[in-house]
Amino acid sequence: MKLCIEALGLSFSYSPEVPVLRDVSASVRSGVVTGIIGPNGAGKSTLLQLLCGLLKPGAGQVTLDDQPVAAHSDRARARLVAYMPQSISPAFSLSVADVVALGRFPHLGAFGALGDGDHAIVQACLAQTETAYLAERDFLSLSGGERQRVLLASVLAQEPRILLLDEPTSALDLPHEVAFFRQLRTLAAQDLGVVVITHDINMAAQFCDELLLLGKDHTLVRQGDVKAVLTEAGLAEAYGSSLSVGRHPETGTPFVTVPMGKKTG
Amino acid sequence: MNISSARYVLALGATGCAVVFVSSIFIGTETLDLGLAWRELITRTPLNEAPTLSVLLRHRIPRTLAAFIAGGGLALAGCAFQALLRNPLATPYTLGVASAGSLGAWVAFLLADITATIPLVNIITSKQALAFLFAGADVFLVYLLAARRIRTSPAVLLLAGVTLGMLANAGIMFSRFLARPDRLVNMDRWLMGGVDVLGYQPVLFLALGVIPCMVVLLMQAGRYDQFAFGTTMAAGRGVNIARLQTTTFFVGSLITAVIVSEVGPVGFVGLIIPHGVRALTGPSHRLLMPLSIVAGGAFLCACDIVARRILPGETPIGIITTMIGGPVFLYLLVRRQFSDWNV
Repeated sequence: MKLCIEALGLSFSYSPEVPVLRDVSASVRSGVVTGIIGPNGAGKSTLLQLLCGLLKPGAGQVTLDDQPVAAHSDRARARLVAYMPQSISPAFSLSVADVVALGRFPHLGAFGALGDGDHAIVQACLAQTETAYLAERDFLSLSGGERQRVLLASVLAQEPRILLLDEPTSALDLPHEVAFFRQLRTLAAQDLGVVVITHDINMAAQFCDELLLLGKDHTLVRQGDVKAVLTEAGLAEAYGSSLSVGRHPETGTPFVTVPMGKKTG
Repeated sequence: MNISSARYVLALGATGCAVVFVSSIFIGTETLDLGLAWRELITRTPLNEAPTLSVLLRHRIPRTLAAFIAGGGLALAGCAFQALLRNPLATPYTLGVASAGSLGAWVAFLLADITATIPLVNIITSKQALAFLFAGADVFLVYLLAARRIRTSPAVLLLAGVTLGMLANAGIMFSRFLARPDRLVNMDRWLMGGVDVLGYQPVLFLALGVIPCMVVLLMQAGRYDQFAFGTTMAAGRGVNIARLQTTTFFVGSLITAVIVSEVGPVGFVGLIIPHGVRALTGPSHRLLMPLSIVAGGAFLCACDIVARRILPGETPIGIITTMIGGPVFLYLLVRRQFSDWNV
């Protein structure tokens, strides 16, 4: 069974004059890597938080598993959908194992005690993200790449069906970024849904199955498979500046470059 | 921290606490002849003819219990506020509860002349009752502020608390200005805090007010852990942020109001105990919170021993908690460089 999150006609704003999202309808599902791309301030992070019910839309509706997202209890929702915010760091020292164990929260009882099964899942998530050797380290002492892998392990420990990741690779160098996206592909192959915000259009073209392209006017400009979304017309509409779309030399997938001859932006 | 070392720390803490607790019963301005008390007990001497047993039962034991509950409650409330506000400087008094409670007590002192002889009214205007009423009003104001929006920023609540505290302090200054000079001594003494309770009625009041609140806060431990990575992450994990904020502010402040109204504004316990305990247990609130209760209780008992035995007369306990706590806390700050907190 595929698990779907469907957004229908979502609008959101913090104040009436400043819209953040306008009439966005989209759907994401398990087993698929969906990339959310678009210019700064297009509303990507807001869309992600609307999809998991952390924000309430001004208009429109989000359904999770065919029910309104708010109809699920907070914990029940967190067992289906895990959300990883952008650039977070803990308020105090925590070991890596503790950070991953935090992910078990929606599965625990009133006093929050972890059982043997929970510890086994924590270990499995550490192993899956190749962070087991870091388990005793202080999270604050880790490098950017290590931190993102540990945070991924911690949302995986929720055992969700769909992961929502807000710019997980923005602080990573190229090899680490590629490794992170490969990991996401592996997870999707295990029937996990992954929704990932990124500014790296080419990385999204390489590793995502589908894309949501948000525009600077806060609407959804294109959605669908990579080839359908990454067109020069679509990108120009979304970013308001012209980008060239070519072919990746190895894979033949769309490859976006900035034309240097023309004036951009 | 693994489970075996956690057990070790807990066992050590419990033992230390038990030692302080028992010492607190038997150490006082006058040393207690345990043999004499025992003889008074087995011969069933009436209490008013059995001075030693009477001191033990009517003074020492209630006093120790009161100190323990008050210290534990303040430490636990401190833990909860620090977790919720993600701020190491948050204390049970951050929201102005202590100042409001003090103002209530001062009003009671001012009214004492008028109301002392009127039955019922003199109970309502007792310093405990008015301290609780004023502290409760402060809690309610902050609660309204927290409940009005979906997510109130911690900074807004802290600012509101500090402002309410300043307002209450202005009220205290005003009542000082109005008060008869001979009353000022008593009023000032209250402001320094003291656990010198008599009999079990204050202990019962403390226990009934504080212990249920403790249970509620302890049940939030797993949720406070989720706050380590901020409210959005916690919300994503399934924590109801608004409910947790409301619960913590209300229950934590209620604990504080009950304690302040009975023993006065005893400072510093809620600030330093959670930090000291955190150094031992690490950041898991499921360990940090219960151990803070024990350590806070033991700390206040120990301060009370110093108050009764080591310093001249019966030094107010609020002075001692700060005189002992301050240097210890500074040492922790210098040595650990606040590395526990990523601030």
